[in-house]
Amino acid sequence: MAKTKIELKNVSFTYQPGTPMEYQALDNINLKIDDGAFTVLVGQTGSGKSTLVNLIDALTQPTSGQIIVNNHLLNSQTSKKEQEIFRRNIGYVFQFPERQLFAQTVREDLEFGPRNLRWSQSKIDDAVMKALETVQLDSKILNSSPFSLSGGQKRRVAIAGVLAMNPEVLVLDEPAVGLDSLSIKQLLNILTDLNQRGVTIIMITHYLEMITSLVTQIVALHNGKITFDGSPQEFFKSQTMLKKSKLLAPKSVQISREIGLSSLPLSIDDLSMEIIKQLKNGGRANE
Amino acid sequence: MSNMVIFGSYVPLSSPIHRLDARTKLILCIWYVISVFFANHLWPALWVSLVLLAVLIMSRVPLKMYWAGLKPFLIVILITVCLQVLFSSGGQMYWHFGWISVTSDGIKNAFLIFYRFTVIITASTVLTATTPTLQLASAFSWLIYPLKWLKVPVDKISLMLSIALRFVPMIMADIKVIMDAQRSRGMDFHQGNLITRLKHLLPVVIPLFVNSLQHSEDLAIAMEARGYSLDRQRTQYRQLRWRKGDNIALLLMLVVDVGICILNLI
Repeated sequence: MAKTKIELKNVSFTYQPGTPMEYQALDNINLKIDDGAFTVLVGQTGSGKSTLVNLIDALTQPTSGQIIVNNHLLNSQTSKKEQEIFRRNIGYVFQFPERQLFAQTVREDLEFGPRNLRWSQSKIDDAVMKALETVQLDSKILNSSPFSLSGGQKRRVAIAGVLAMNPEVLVLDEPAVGLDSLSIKQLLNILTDLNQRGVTIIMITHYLEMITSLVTQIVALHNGKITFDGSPQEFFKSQTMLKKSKLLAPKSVQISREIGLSSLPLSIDDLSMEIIKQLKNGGRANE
Repeated sequence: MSNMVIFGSYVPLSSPIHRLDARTKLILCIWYVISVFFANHLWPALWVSLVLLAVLIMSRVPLKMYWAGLKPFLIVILITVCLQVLFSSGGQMYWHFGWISVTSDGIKNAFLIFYRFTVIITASTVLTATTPTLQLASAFSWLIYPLKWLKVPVDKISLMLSIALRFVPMIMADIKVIMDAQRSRGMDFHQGNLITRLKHLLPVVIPLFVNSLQHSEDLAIAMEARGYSLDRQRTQYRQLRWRKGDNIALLLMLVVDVGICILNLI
């Protein structure tokens, strides 16, 4: 049993309480995320996904309930100072993270996070190089302006800026939006690499092709409530769940269902493996 | 989505004030502000404030939100009040030190300025809290329309105004996201002296400018793609409609002014 990294207990969140615009975004959420997990959050727009990850990064405080990350507690009374300590182990890649780039050079932008943590220069240099390597960018771009890069490169620089802080938990909000399929593939490789190194990953996505065999947990939200919390296999098994979340199963699952396979492969590779297995068993191979 | 109440943002409710025509509310607001300058004594000032309070209650917007809108201005108001108290002369002298003196006229003026500022700011908040920004923009262009005969580019001005107003909430949301993103990268906005704090603005201001320029470019292209041209007369999708309530509101404002006149005489 892996140990629990993040735990939410009876968490509720209301925007603009006490005004006519009052809006309850999260309603009594209970959730556990294991250390080293790869958790995917799904749900329609306005279901509370972004609010949930904002709370996990202590950017807002819950209206009621508590969140525990690494034995640090966040509730409605947590002070600003404690929120910062809480945030330290969590990296958050916002939606369109390239829109937050600001420095004159890529190096400066990557150094921004570590510098805020007051690391020594040698530690910063190490972290920057390692982050750049993780996102598969060449060190040649360190001295160029982030605004001169291509869209996919910008996004990877922005992700590297978060990774340079060596987070134990990485939160990503729709990291694949607006990327071409090659960049999405690269992004998946990066996430795979990080997860294998032990980083806990929480990702919001609408692209179910991003859900690979690595994913350990799927959490579906609807109107601020958790409607599903379990493995991807269980999730795709339930047609009603998919319909409720306004999602289509990944192509591999759809094909496998069409041709009458009993398993639910999460990628085309897994699907072909499954087909090969079936062919061998049935002895109907026609090579 | 932001969790703070932004000064002057529209509060979608249904109240007699909300239902008034945007033009009426704009005229009333300007009229009211002018009237405030004629109410310089205790009783007229009280009368004018009472009228405003009645309007606040009628608008159904919680008083807490008006207070939140006024709060950022309080510091400016208080500084002005202090300057008034310390640096005006006339009337009876209570205390003085070199240039600085506290006089009865100074204190009276300070009270007057405090009352004018609060009342005027609150009145404009009523206008913006009960009127959608785009309606407000079309009311404004209606108001300045006669200037067209003086070769003022009225259409351009009103378009600029509505775009500017439309961008405000967008930019506010943008600031929130960028600040959150930089905070999540360990930035502490409430630390250090003035210079460090100004330096801390860079990681927010630069992305904000880049994004806003991008927004405006997108908007320009979208407008051209839909056939926008300055040479042609624009039509309006949302028509402003003048109702009986608007006539009544203007009449009531006249009553308020009569009240000021009477109270000024006694």
